[in-house]
Amino acid sequence: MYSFEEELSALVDGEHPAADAMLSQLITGNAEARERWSRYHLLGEILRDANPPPEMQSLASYVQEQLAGEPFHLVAKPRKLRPNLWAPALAASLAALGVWGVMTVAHAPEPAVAPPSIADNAVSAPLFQPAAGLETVQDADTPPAREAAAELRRRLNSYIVNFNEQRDSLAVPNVHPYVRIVGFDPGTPR
Amino acid sequence: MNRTIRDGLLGGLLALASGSAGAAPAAAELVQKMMGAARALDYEGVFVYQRDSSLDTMRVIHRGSGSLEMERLVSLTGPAREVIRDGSKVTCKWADKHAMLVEQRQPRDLLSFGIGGSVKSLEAVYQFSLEGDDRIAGRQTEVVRVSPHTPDRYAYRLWIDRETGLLLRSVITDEHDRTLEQEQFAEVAIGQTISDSRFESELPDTDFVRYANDDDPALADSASDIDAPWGVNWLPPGFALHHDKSQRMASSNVPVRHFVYSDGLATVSVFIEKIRAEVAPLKGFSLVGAVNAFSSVAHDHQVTVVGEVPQNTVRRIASSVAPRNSE
Repeated sequence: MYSFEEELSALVDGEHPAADAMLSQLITGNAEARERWSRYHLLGEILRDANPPPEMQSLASYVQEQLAGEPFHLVAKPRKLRPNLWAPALAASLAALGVWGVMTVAHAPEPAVAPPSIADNAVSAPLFQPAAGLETVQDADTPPAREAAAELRRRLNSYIVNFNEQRDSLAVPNVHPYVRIVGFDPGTPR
Repeated sequence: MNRTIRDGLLGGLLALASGSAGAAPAAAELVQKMMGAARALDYEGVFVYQRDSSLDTMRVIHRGSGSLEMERLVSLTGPAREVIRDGSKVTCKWADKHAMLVEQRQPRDLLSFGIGGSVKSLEAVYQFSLEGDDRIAGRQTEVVRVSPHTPDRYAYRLWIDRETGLLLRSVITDEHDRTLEQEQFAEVAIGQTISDSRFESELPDTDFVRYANDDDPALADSASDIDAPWGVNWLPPGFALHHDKSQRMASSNVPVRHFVYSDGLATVSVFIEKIRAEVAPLKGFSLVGAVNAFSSVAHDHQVTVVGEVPQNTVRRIASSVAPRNSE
């Protein structure tokens, strides 16, 4: 089991597989996380016997720099990972942070033919998550039940895609109406 | 919509808002200005989107000054995905699934709602207040809080660019002031010339299987067996019907009746479809970010309400849906 502190250290070192998402979290996250990140960054510089550059002392400017430097080509950026280290540690720490939360991942098979729609694209994981403590659509253990659950999710996701499309046409305030579609990332913890 | 008329109205509204520069603009005026700016301006930037417990970083390129509104939205984290909007055509690509979807969709209705709607009508259900200024992505913003008078809808905090009216940060909160969903620019450039090439996909079409319902009559809007009159007998104050259509769901090709209601800020969709014997009906709540859904069964039909409103609101709306002749 690896601690949150160890993960932050890796984030500072640029070795964390979820560096982008966590840096983003720092923008909107809580003050404690920001302070921890700053402390670990400075600590990393000291351990490397290097003077932290002035621009690195400002979290905001650093995060913006990271985002501005993000490549605008649609190719996954290779990362140097610590083998056999980050999968369990990341899961544990993200759970602690509430980053992964209670969102369940459906295990419906990948559509054999290919998803013909935005909604079908959402089949392999729930865009919706059940609300706790209420009557919900539940996962089950048997293959027919799983398939039935996948069908239910497919329909729910179709509804939300249509909802967002209509919402977009009404010019209601939101930065970008399609973020819920682009941002949907089936089965990949961040 | 006539582009000239629309541009004229947008320009007038923007001029109206900018005319009060120097004095603190009224909060509602700022919101009005914001609604037009998001469509009319040219801008490019990177923003963070948070919902539930997940985060995404995306780049957006938007051009509103040309003859057609153009937009390209690209995920910078996770699998490569993009949405390109070219006028009324929307192309979505998922590199991880090698799938491309092309859809024809309705053009944005700028006059009948939002930009053309009256802020006075919004003030009947929301309170607008200024919370001072802030700096987002290196730009000065005015912070506007939009609080509902009743707990049947959510509150908003909006960081609106002082110079242009562009929304640079938005937060949706529940009645306990907990953040449900937010978006925030990390960097943005506004007003720069954006060439056509910026809206071209970098993902080669040859790697994708193309699915399009723009030329498939089977997927076009169609009459269905749910065209009988249905009624939504309860809505929160201020909500009005904006669309009522029968459509086929792309995923299942099942005809669905779709009502769209909005109060000018929040939107609610009501879907009604006939229950099929081979498919179990949906029952209960689901949620994603600030969007709640509630499904129930009424008169052998599946009723699902989806909206950026609290759970109790979607449930109450769903419970009120019934055929007209059963009232």
